[in-house]
Amino acid sequence: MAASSANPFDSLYVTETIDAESFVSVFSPFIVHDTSSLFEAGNVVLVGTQGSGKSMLLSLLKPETRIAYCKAGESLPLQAARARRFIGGGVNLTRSGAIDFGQRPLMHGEDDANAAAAYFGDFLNYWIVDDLLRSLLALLKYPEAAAEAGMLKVDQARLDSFAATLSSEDCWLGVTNEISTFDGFLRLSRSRVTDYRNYFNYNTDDLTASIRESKTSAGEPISVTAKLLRSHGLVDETTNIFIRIDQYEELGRLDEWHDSQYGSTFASVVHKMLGLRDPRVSYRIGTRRNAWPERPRMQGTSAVLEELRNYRIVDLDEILRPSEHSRPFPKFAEDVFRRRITWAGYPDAASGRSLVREAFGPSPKPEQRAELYVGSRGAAPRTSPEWSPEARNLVKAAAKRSPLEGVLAEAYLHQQGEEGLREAKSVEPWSTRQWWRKERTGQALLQLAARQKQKMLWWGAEDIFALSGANILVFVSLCQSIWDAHLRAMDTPEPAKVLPEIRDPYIQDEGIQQASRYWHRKVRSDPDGDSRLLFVDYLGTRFRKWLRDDIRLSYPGHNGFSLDDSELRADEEVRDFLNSAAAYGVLVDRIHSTRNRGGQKRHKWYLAPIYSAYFQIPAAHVKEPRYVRAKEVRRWLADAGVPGFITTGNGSRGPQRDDQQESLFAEPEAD
Amino acid sequence: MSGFADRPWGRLDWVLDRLDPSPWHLISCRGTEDRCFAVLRGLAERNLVSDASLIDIAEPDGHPRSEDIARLKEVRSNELEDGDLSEIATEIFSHRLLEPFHLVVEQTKAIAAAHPRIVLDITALPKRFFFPMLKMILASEALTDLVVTYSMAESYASQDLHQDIQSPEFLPLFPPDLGDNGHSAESLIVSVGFESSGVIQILEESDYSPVTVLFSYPAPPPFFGRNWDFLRHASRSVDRDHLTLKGISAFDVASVFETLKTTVLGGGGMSVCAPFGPKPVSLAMALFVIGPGSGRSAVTYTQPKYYNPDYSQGVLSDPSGSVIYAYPIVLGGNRFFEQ
Repeated sequence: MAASSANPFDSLYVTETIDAESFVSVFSPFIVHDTSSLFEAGNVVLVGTQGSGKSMLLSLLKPETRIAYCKAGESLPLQAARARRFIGGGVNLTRSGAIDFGQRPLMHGEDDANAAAAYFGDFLNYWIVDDLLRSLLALLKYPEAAAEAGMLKVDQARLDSFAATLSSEDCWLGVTNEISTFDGFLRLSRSRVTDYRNYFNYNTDDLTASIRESKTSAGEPISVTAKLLRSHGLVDETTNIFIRIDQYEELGRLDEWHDSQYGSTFASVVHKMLGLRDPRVSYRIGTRRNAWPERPRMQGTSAVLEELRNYRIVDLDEILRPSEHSRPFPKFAEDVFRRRITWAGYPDAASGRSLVREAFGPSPKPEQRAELYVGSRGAAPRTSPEWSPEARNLVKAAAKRSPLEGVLAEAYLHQQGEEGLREAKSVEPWSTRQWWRKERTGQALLQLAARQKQKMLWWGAEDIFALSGANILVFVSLCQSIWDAHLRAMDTPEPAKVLPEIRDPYIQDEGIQQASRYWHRKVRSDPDGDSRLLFVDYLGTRFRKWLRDDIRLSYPGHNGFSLDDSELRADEEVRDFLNSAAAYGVLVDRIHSTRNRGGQKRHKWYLAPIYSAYFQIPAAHVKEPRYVRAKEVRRWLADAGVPGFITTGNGSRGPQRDDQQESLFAEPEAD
Repeated sequence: MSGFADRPWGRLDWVLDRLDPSPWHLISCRGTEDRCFAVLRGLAERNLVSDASLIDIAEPDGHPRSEDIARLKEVRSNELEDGDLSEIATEIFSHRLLEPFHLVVEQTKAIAAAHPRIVLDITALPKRFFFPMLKMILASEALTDLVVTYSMAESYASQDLHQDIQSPEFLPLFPPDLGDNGHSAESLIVSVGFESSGVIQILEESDYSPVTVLFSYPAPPPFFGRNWDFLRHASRSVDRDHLTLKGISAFDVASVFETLKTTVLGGGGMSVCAPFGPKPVSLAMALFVIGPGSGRSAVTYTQPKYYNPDYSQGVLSDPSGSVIYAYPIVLGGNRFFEQ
């Protein structure tokens, strides 16, 4: 089934709810190659912001995905056959009800976090083993999928034999002794889970005595199950067994709901499972960035997990971020783009072509943007009466050649003075000093557009990639909005499925602005989003003002700020707020390598690039960000009206926001 | 037992005129809004309230307008202490908005066990509270009569009504049953209204399909614009081929209940309700999921952390008096929403 809409990007999310063939067509396995450890033995903590592809990767571990590929007559999109040999089970901590532990006290005085954690671990054991065995059954219905997963041909007798042995294992503390069939075991495991859920939902008044007396040790039954699956010949000896634990970050919320540390204690149960270091089982923990603790303590001990020894972190944001040596995101985006339009019925395109560029064209050179901002009205240079006639003429001549040259020339003179101009190696140093010019071009364009009372414009493939900020969801939404704008501008319906060449900058910009507004508004939709939106609005407005009013173009990097790590350590509230904003993809954080000989470690922070169109600021991060102290950020948070940071008892803003956009296009104050 | 036909509802006075005149126990919320005691007043004027349990809910620390909240709650306290309301025995129960849910559940259990005739006023009660409260009241063996009430406000804040929603969670006591394999996608039935930003999060983080949007129509003006606003925003997150709009009444709980039945039975699978619309529609969702015919349905919601203390102003009135709707749920032991 192909997409029915005229816009191939009509839906941002294409999930398992579509038919198998479509799912396989649209699913991009691009980042799989960079995350190979996810498909190898060993524990992995998979971190990433929304839109980084985390859910997509984890879904590869689910049996439904493998079955979808099987139905479409394809193998899982993993290059090595060895990597495709795995089965898995898992738990979503929210949907399973696991985070309800602690919501109702357990009787007999067992109402503290540690007692609840023992039950929590028992619940996870039963849920995960149950899910693992049901996944096994689901795959058995598709022999090709089962074979690819490394499952062996099994009959009911072997399943029952496995279940009988599993039931007799000591790890269950005698509860399962009477079970002799696979179905019987599934009934018991489901019954145990249901007993817990009934208790937390007040369908029963007490947990059964059986549960109280037979709490299993976190992770142990899972290890035993994995061992027996192999020894009973249900799966090949080399088949990996991956256990997914999704929404780990939600445990953090429990601490806020209780006076005691339920969330961190429950997290220690998950850590304990990883700490078993059982080569037969590999855990996959999916979580937002910054939710995984620096020192993951294990339940019942002061010992902590060690990275590399107990687990590896796969950070999708890091993988997709551009570095000096590689820019992986555009290739990922191209693959997603190609799959979407092919799915929508456009002719299958060779994977070597850049379809994004074919559809949207290249982004303009800075001079072209400047010409568009100025139009036919021209832009008179702003010279200073203190300058000599020669200097003023030099600026005027530059402006006449190109409006952008004029702004750069003005800034150079403001910054270096005529003395600096005389000492320069060339007559027009703003043109010849390449780095000086490159770093200031974005800021100069912002100032030029503001002077002309024009909006900054974005269009073309490079702008789209830059605004996406290595976030595939943002990229798809940009394509969606531009395509929509293109369809609206058409006089007649698109005649045939031919890749359109959308070249009108205003149409593209209209779509980009729409997408930017969408993402800006969407900040509210995430947990604690209003607080982050207040801060985003505060920063966006400040960044624009700083860049616009800096007529010397001395601080082109002031669309970001930098903080000393030691300051962040000292102010946990500010650190947690910034980390949370980065986890939700609202801010982008980077290690800040400075030339400072003191060697203090710093981090720098920027708004996610997609907000650039909304706030009318350059998306590129250049030169030095603004150096600030934690107390300054704290003051920003207070001024923005973020709850918890307001110093007066009665903040003036409350749950409301001003429309920041009104002030964005004002003129810079007179020089 | 009254002579009501199936699932009666109407203005509070009209309903009370037709009921046994024995006094009721009122469960309500002492909040910041003017309308939070409208039902208490309505019952008191007719000498129909024996005593009242008032839930006071503290929002988490750091509310940007904590002083306004304290001031408005003081106003409400004064209302209880002065004038007609001072003669009513009221007990205040303090809770925290994000506390473990067993606290309000246990308390409701105790209140319901001691009072066979209850009016539950959901006007100012957050869903995280009134959903489990309703379920526990209906589970009480002592219950003979239950009427749920809702007061309309004169106007609503033009700014955001709340701040900082939390992650989606199944409302306490409203989780889904376990499916056959725990992997199947579920349908979502969402009612939209004033503040629907949480729906976006629910749509994005789950694989719900199909999605049915219950649209209050005709809707009063504050709902109307925000409904369409929501739809514009949400349509980017949903596969539009699997999105259905259904017009419903914002106040007719019985007809919304029937719509839910048809929608879920038509879908055949597990449904999750997301109550982001008018309170009476949320009530219909709660009753539907509590009832035996809901299959394996559940209720999900994104609980806000802070509410705007100026959420609403005044109590809407017309020539007949204050606009308060009353929904008899159980009368003389007859349960109207369990068929």
